[in-house]
Amino acid sequence: MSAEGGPRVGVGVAEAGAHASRVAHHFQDFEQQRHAARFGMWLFLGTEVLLFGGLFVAYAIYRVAYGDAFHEASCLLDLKLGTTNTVVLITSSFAVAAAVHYAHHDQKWPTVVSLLLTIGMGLAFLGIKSVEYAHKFQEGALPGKYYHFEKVQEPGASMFFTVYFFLTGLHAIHVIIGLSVLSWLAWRAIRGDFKGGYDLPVELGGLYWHLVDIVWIFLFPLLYLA
Amino acid sequence: MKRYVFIWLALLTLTGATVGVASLNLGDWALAAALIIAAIKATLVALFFMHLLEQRASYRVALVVSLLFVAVLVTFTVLDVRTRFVPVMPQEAYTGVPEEAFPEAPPVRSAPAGQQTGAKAEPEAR
Repeated sequence: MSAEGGPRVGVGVAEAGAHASRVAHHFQDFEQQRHAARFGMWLFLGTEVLLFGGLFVAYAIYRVAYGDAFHEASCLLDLKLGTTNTVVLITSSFAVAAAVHYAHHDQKWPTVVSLLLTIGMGLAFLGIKSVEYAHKFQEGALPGKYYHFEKVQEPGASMFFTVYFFLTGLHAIHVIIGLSVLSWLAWRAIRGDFKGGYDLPVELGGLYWHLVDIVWIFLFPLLYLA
Repeated sequence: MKRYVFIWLALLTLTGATVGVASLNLGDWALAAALIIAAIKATLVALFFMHLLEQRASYRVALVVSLLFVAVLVTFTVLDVRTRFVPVMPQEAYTGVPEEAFPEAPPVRSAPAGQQTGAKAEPEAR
């Protein structure tokens, strides 16, 4: 891997010694602490995958039962807005990867700018999503018994929108949590907390944001292109 | 940084590809194609943006195991749903619309003749 490959596992002994004050008493050294934090984050991301997995199963069941209704209903989602949102979220993922890179190389202001760009794109994503939601509310493409959408009257179409709102809603909640975490990171970066090899919060926050991106990467084709 | 830009461009290209493939109307293969492209995109994000490629294998294990469990859950649930015959899974259970409201009785697979008239789901007589 290239020298600029981002955060590494191997932190030098001297560097670890310089951060002895940051090592909690139950860890042998800085490196072990970093490993524990990263592994904990990955375990958490694993449970997030399982959380969304339940809803993906619901999608699979109703798609098997109502393939035609799902196809018709998904054609009525706004593909342009959906694609725009995909591009926005992928670009924000790129921006947060850059933030982690800059934080690792002690570049304060590039880190801050990258984080703020990520937050801006996350807000743009939510804005576009709310435009879509407002449109669906107006048309009556609502979950369950509130469904009164005239364009698709096939049985099962209301289930598509139920699954749609649950999947995108849970995802939007994750975007909001991610934005809160990123704002906190941006504030700490401005304060100058991340220096001298201490960049783990940025890295872990970045991991969460990437997961939000990955979930959307699957939601987009399943809902908009089904 | 150069690597991140490269991955970002690849992700944008694949997004365009998935929209393009969907417009071809591949029928039954559309979902498979969309999921394969999504899996490639997710793998790129995980390996490069999330640094799974260059970090300890234990992180990969955590992700792969959870994906495996979701795959098992999806596969066996779909196998179950697809191999049920219709009276066991009345339309009413999903839609809230009584079965009588449907103009034609749905085709009954592997159920003895005569049972088709029963609107409610009855356990198979043995």
